[in-house]
Amino acid sequence: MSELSYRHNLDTLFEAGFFSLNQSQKSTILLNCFRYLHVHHAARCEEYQRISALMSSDLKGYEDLPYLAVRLFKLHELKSIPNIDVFKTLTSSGTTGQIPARIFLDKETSARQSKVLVNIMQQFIGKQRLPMLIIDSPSSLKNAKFSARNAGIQGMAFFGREHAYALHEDMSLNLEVVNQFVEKHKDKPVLLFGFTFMVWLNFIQALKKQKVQLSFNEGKLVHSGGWKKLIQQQVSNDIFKETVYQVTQIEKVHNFYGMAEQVGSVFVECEKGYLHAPPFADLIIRDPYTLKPMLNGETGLIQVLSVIPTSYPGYSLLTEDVGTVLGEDDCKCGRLGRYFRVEGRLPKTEVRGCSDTAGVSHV
Amino acid sequence: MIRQVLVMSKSKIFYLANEKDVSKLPVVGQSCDDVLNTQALAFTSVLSRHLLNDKFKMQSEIVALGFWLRKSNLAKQFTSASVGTTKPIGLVVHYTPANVDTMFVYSWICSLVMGNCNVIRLNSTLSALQNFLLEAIFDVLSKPEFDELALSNIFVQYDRNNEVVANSLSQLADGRVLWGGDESVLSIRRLPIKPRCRDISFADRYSASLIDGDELSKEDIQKIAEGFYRDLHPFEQQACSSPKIVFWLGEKEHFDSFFIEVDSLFKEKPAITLKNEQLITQQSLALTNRVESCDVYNTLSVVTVNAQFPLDINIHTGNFTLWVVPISQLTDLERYVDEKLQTLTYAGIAQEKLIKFLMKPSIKGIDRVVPIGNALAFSQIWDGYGLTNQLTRRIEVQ
Repeated sequence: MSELSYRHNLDTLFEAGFFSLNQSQKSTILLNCFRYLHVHHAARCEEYQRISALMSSDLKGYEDLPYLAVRLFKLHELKSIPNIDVFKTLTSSGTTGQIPARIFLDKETSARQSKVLVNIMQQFIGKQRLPMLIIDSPSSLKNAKFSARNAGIQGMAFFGREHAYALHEDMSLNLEVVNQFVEKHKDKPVLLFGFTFMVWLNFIQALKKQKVQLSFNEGKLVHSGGWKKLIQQQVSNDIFKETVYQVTQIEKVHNFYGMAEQVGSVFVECEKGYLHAPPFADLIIRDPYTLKPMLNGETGLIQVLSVIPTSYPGYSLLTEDVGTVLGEDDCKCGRLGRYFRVEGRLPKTEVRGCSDTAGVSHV
Repeated sequence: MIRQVLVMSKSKIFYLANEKDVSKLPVVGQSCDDVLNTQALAFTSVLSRHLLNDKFKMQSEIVALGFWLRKSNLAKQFTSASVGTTKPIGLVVHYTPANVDTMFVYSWICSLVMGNCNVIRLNSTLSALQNFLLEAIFDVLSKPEFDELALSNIFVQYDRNNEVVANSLSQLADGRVLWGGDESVLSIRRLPIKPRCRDISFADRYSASLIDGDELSKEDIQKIAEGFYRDLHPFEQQACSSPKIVFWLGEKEHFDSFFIEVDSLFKEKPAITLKNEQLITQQSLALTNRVESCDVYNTLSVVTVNAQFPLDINIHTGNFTLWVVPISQLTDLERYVDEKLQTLTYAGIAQEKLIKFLMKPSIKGIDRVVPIGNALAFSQIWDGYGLTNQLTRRIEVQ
């Protein structure tokens, strides 16, 4: 497949939306794109070439596509463009708090990310830009580096107007700003966005504590960033949504699953509570004990596929997230393609060894 | 239970919060005993029997320690310690590794049998196995016949950031035994010490195996595979002496069946994270070396690399991964032997041939050469040190 037909295929996907391509039609188009991306990266990224040479070369289906362990982006600088073309470097904060992943973008990949994100999000929150309350502090955007956090906020800010920031710099609730926002946009459609844990702790719990009741009857809340900390506090998605409704009257809550290593092609939660693969991306589940593909309904490691990245070899990644594909083409919300649930993350591996003395830091 | 144990009680863990706690340790001012004193030897025998008790039989590391402590084995270990003109060095402080749970006991016992007083610094969080082990040790130490030993062998914990305690404890030492990674060892070595304090440092090392495929017959495979498994399985391949690399010399006829046999010995279900970790190591290796093939079994991941490229052992994370380097002659090993290579286990190759190779001046690494299956068997000669020598002083009499 040529670059031209890759672009042509992308155009088709932009046109498609969630309702016109069933899984088999979609995977035919995507597979063509992925075969192209495989050849593209193998020719431009020696590291990708060496790794993919260890895997199957007969790319008959998704499951034959080479995949990189997502952690490789924390350990190595992987790119398929000359340094001079690096337009932006994304870093993931990473919940582990250790070495961040570094993702190298050229102008094209960066533009494609934005375009895809817009295409996907509009199908959940509409084309109109709404007044937007960001559940974060305005200063988090000032951090010089492109962390996943401020990239996420910047990406989402596009979908709103008259942005207001609900938190102080120390992450405490800025009730004044929130009240002003409520006052101004009462009973009108508004958009709220934040990272899942911050929405829960710094916004919803803080409002509850201060016994503040908001009424965003026409509001939509979009949130992302992982459930790890909420699971620890036994907060399920149902409890989350129920509490959000009680405190803010918002009924439309969309979680989305995405990562710095594949910015743009996000997996958004539908009205029925399931995450959906957008036209531009897909997923397969692999058995953590064999890394072999699993069937729908079985729970294992999530491998994410995205048509976006041409500047770095990240179109096919084995994540450390655990999930289940629940079905394809038959979600009650009407969207076609695969829908799934993320169950959590792989536990952290415990490192044992001589090379780890009794926690000595005699400095 | 041990962790909440009482400060300043006999035979338990002392928690050190300040300088005073250090100076009040019962071991301070205790005099040493003789080399190979009878109380120490009696203690090791009782401890051996205690650890070989049925209740520990599932803990292979504890059983191995129990066997090592048997009278007959210790007698072998310490034959070189000449009584008569050899004396203990005084107070030895042991800095234990966090996670190779039984390791510190070996060096502590060497020191104890040489008649020294000992302070054993434990990690602030202990593994289940360490808790087991300490309980067993305290059970034995609390017997009335070991009253004196209980006063001169003290287990302590302190906060890793407590400089005052770290400094004053270190300054008590006539000798220090340091287990840990390079960084930890170096940070301990920066603590103040007495001018003549001796340091015995066991820092980052790794180990490898050498298998001569030309000498391997179908009948040998099972026995060698069992030995190999014994070296690999305890401590999840994280012990410095467990092999991470296999040098396969010559004929590869039995290559596959050997690793299949090793893999079949793993009976428990592997960790859910194992295959992903192995994948990361495979892919990281593919970035720097030419990987010829990856054979992924139930538990093992066997990655065959091209011998033309250097190996970066730092990216080897264990996880039951073996890097196999095919070589055609023994001298091909030379370029891989660096100072960090500790143990070379071997099968199918004559000892004399190996010794001849090791004696070459260009060979800077390898402190132990033992048959496959014995990688984890502790000897008082470790990492190139003779512990009984290091932990005693010899009086020259003319």
